[in-house]
Amino acid sequence: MLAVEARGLVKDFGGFRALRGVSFEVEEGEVFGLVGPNGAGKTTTFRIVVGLLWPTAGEVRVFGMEPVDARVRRIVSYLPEDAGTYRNITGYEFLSMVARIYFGKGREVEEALELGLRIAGLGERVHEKMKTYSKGMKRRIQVARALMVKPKLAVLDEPTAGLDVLQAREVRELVKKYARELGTTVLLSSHNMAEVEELCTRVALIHTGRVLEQGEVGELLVKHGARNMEELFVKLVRGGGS
Amino acid sequence: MNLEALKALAAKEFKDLIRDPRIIIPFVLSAIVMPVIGLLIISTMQVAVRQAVETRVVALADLDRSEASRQLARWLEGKGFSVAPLEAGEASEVELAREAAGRGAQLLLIVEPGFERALRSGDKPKLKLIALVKEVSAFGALGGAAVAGAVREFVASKLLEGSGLSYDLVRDPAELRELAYVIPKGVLLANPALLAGLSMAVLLIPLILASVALVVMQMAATAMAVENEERTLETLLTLPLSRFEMLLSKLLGMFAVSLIGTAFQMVGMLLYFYLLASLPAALAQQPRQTVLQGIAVAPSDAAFLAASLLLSLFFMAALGLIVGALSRDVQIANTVAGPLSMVVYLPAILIAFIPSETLGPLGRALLYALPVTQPVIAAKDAIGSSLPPAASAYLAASLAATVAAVYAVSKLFSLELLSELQHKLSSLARRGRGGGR
Repeated sequence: MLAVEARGLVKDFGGFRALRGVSFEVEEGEVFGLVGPNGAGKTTTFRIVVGLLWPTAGEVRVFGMEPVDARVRRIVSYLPEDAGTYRNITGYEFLSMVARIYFGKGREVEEALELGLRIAGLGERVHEKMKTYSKGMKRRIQVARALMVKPKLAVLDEPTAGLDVLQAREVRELVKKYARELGTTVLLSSHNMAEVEELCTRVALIHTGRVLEQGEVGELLVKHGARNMEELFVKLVRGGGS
Repeated sequence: MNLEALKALAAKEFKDLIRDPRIIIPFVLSAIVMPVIGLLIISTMQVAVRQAVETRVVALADLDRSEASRQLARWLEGKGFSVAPLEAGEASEVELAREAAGRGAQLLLIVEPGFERALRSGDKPKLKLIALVKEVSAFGALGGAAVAGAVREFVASKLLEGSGLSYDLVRDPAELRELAYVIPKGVLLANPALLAGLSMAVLLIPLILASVALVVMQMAATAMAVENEERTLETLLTLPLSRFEMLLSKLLGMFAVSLIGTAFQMVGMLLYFYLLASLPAALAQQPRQTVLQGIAVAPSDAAFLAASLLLSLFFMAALGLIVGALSRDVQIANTVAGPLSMVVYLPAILIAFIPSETLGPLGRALLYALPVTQPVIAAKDAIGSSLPPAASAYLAASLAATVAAVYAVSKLFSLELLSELQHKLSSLARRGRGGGR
């Protein structure tokens, strides 16, 4: 079954067209990357996939359902780019709140919280107010929040944006490890080509609201005679695709 | 409805707000500031009263140089004033005042020529009492009243000599006790000071309630704008909760915090009135009577007021959420909330100052039906008169308006709609600044 099926997505904001017919498919269980520079339309696409925005034209299905379907919210976790944290509550309280919102009460809440704490890996600092956290710690909490509820689909928008090399590596490891462990399909975006190569099985390259190319990373590199994703991207943008 | 989720999110909202110093400090300050203002007023008044009754130096310029004017000087000394005689000569009043001030006097009494003659012929004698003001202040002229009283008493007793009448009888010829009966409350107030206190309460309490509502609106607007600014709203909107549940949990959390804030303000207000209640005693050395007796509200009216205030707080929080949701950051939210608060405050001022009859039945009905103004006008009526017979119908109208507001706001809880509205508002603002295309 397809986890995500996007067909000809168009999105206008006033007079500005952010998406110009974006189409892609994400298989269940894979890590799929939406790759492109800032302003390419990655975030708008993700917001449509998780039901925050509605497409001007085209359609999207998440496990065969419309994104605005209440059932989709239970099985999809979204990590927005630069998602902030609540200043005056602790990481523990935040994760606990998310567990209770998803599972009510009982054993499932405890399990989810336990998993969240393990993913966040903040030790005793998880009991401190989140305003005291570094950017990396905040990101870890957010990644934990997104994965602890064992979603069928995790949509991660620039999960390592703004982090230093070590922090970014830690977050990448978390995504890789827990996506595999939990069997979660991951749809992530990044403008870091190396990151995409490391994490994703398949990618779609997006530029100015259009998908230039999509497929398996290795196949795309061979197809376009590129040594890496960065070179591939530059070739596609300059050449307008093959 | 997912009650557990609702509780979890409401608890988060409550903790996030109550631990925010920007929220809690103004609440605590409101409880402290009002009694401090009360203390300042009372201590200033007490100082003024003490100054007024203390023996004061009165400079006397005797232009009559008669036996009667000398008797007046002795009379004043007998009343506890220290009299400093001045050599009047041809000096002007300003020169006399300057000389009196130089001798440390606080008052200058000028006895005009013809003083004794007037007393003998039964005419009004002419005198001037000049207050020598070192500093212009609210209570600077209080001291003059005591000297003026002593002079009047002297003149009256001289005029009454041989008539068989006493000064006390002429000054207050009837034993007239002034009381006030507040018709709608059926309360007889034994002291005019109580009526003054009641009037003050009728004026101030509605305004204070309006302030409480404004604080709640501001808090809600800020909290929601922070969600936009910190980009937590996006996450929130993808949680498995309906928009209504999300809004309701936010409102409940804010509501709990606003109740704590209201409690702080009420404590401050009660302390303020308690302190002010001792003013009559301080000013006129009357037996201490509490103004709070005058503001006693019937239990049913108090219950109505409490319910009305709760609805109003909920409504204002919903209004604040709209403002916050449409603002990209806290600064914009505050900029919008400021002028909007006038929409609440101006009717409150109108209600507090304008006699109820002037508002007319339609105006009163409207003010009673709106959640924003209902507790304000109800507080005024409950304290100063009584609630209207249709009070419960008005409460139902306010409840309906509040539920409608919450429902309408819940419809707004969508990123699609918010983005669109924010975009339109930004375009409007740009056009307003002349920067739009």
